[in-house]
Amino acid sequence: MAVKKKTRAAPRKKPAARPPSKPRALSLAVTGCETLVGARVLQDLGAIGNVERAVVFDVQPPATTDPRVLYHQLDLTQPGADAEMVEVMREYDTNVFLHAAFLWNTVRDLEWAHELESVGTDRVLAAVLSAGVSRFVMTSSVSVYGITHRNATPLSEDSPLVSARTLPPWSDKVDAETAVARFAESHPDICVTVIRSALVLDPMIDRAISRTMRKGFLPGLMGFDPLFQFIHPDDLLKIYRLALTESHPGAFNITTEDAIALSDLVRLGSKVSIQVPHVVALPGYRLLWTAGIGDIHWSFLNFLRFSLITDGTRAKEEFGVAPARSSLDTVLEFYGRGQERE
Amino acid sequence: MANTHEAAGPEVTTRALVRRLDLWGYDPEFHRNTMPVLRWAAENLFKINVSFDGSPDWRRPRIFVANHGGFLPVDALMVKSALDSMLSGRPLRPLLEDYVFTLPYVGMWLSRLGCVRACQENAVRLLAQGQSVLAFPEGVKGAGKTLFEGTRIQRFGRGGVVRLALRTGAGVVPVGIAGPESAYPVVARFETLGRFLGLPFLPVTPTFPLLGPLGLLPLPARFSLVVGETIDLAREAGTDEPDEADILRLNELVRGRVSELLYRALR
Repeated sequence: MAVKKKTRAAPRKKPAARPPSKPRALSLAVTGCETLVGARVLQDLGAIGNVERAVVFDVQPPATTDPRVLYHQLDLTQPGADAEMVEVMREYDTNVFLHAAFLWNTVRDLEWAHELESVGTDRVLAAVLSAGVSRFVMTSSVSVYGITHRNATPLSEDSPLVSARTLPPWSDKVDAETAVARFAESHPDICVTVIRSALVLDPMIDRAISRTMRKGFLPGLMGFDPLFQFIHPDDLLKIYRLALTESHPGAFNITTEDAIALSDLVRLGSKVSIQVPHVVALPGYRLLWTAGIGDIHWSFLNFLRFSLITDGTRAKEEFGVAPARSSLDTVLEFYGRGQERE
Repeated sequence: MANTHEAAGPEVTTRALVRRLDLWGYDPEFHRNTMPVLRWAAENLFKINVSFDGSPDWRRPRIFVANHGGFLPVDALMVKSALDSMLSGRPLRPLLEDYVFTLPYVGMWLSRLGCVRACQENAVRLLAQGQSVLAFPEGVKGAGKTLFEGTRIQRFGRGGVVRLALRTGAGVVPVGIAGPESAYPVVARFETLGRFLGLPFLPVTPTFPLLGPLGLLPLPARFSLVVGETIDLAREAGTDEPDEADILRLNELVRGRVSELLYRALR
């Protein structure tokens, strides 16, 4: 077993006994501290309220200096990671787990991605069960529904997850979601929440969508003008904070009620649109990807062809809050035109 | 970098430059600008003739059910041009086969006009929003009818329209359309080649593939529409909990009505 070095970001303390009348403080465990959700949750633990500590399991230490954050170096792709997590979580009496260790940029090492996302989630679930965690929250994305012309509009949480077929690099996320759904069914005493977010536009986080939209031009496929839904990171984080502190079992789409066409994104950002026939672009880019050129998997070109529209009604009803910003607001803010919000 | 906001003038905000599309891509402005052209084409190129059984009262959302023909859904556009103005200011939303939305420009323009992919989820949501839909239960079988198969109506799916009507309580309005087979006289269809291109089939007409993509434009055939009276399928079912046999019986009932109207339209 590859046991990693333990680094202490803050002195460890045994959890203090609490009077039974008070609600139990949150003892949080987090994977994926460099992802948008992991990083933002850890940066602002105060916004969650009543967090006693947060143990981070990751290969890199978190950026935060919050004394409640304890770092435990751990690689989810390594066998034995689950036992190691159990040991630490028992020590700190962890009751809530945020699993955010997912890759939102495509990587070429698919074997490693499989170990991290699919097998890694199995390890996390095993650890959650053994450590007696009562609430498990997992990050996901609406792209697990896949991008195809056969999608209903909008897609509800009950729609099948087909991205394995239409977005091959996302197949491990679908595997992870399937494992989590099975886990939730077998262990109804553990509150399992899956948050599937629409495209998140955050200038601070390096994601393919942000990188693409920062360029002076936007690619397009001739004769196609798909729609996009964007969620503002602050609106997304609001939902995560509720999911971490309250019981909201199930999977939820976090999205807006509006959508913006690609041509409007071009117009709003004063971009140049480069249009290529899809019969040339799809096989051509696939060839380039195979040759090692490009940082976005070829299958993602279908986002320039078909719309992926989801319904956030269930989340709105369950959490009692709706995103404060529309997709248009989020895009305007991203383009530095936030002052033009109504 | 050019600033769209400034270029458009101070009174126009950036926000106002964004089109107000619905989640299916329907663009009211595009619709408003395009429908007069479509009506002109329907009246002058396709010499459309529309007749009604009884007086149409479609204040509540309806499910219009019609026979289908043609590789591109020109029949949907003809029905839309004829009935749109009679639907309390809400556009008719044709439910079309999947493959239409994979075609460049065609799928995009049809979406902007209000067409959506045919599936229960889309139809239920549109009806709940108070919008009428136009269904072609023959599906791809109807679109791929060759000249040699004539105007015979194909199987009406597996009763999707009936289930939709019973689920939503919307009335079903049968429509017979004569003309699409003449606008797209399919002499043969290549299914293997079509599947290779991601289509259910590739049609061969007197103009396609001879004239390339231009050959997909419909020939100026005469269209005739006969719109029937609303059928209340919940009442026709005669039971609160219709079973599979009831669904199939009601499906045949709707198919029969559409068939009658088609033969009247052909006369």
